[in-house]
Amino acid sequence: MSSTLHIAVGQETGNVPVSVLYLKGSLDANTSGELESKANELIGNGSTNLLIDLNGLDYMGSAGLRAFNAISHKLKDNGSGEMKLLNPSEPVSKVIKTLGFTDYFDIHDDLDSAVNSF
Amino acid sequence: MEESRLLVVLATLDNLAQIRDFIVKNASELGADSSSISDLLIAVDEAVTNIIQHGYQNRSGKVEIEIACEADTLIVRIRDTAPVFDLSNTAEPDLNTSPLEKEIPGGYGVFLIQHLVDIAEHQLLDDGRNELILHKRKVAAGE
Repeated sequence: MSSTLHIAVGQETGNVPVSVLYLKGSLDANTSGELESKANELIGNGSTNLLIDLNGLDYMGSAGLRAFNAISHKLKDNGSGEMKLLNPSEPVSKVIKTLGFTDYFDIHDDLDSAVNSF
Repeated sequence: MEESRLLVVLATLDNLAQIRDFIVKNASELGADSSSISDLLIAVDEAVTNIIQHGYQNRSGKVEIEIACEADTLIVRIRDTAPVFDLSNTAEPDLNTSPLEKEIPGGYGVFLIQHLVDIAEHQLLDDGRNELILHKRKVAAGE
C-alpha cells in the first residue's frame, strides 16, 4: 500500500472553468496536508471550482474528510466557488457514508456530468 | 489461540502505510474477507493516528500492533506508552449537524473505529501501557 499521495491537476471547462485534482496513492493523516496545500495553491491562483477525483486512491481515512472540509471552508471563506468529489471507490465511499458526509458533499461518478454540474 | 503476529514501529505518521500493509497481509493470511480487512484497516489506521496525534502528541514513542485469530474473529491489540487515551472518553461527533462545522479532535477516528469493528475496548496494562483491543469477525455478517 502506498505511503505517498500523488496529485495531478487538469483543467476542464463546462459552464465554468473547473480544476480537477487527480489523486493517486494514500490519503491519510500523513499525506492529507499535501492535498490542502495543493488546493490552497490553486485557490490562491484564482481557481474557484475544484473537483477531486478519488479513483486512484488505495486508501482514505478520516484525515481525507478533514482535508475536504478545510478546502470547502477555504472556498466558502472566499465567498464563491465549490468543491465536489468524483469516483470514490467502495472503501472510500464507506468512510464518507459512515461519517455522514454524503449529504454535504456533491459526489459524482462521471467526469463530464461532474464538470457540467458546476 | 493461534500464533500471533507482531509489528513494532516508531509512532510516526509516515509509518501508517507500513502498519496498513501489516494488517492487510496478516488479516488476509488469517482468512478474513475483503470487506472485513477493509474495515479493520481503517479502524487500525485511525487508532494509531489518534495515538500519534492525541496520545504522544507527536512526541517520540513506539506503537505495537499484534494480530491473532480466535475462532471466527480477528483480534488486533494496539499498545503504546502515551498518556491514557480511552475511546469511551471521546465524545462522538454530532452527525446530525453539518460535518463542515469544527469537530472534536479525534472524534471522527473514534466514530469510525466504533462503527467498523465488532468490539473496541481499551485497557491499562500492569506496566502502565495502553492497550486497545479490536475484534472483527473474519467474514462480514450476512455473507
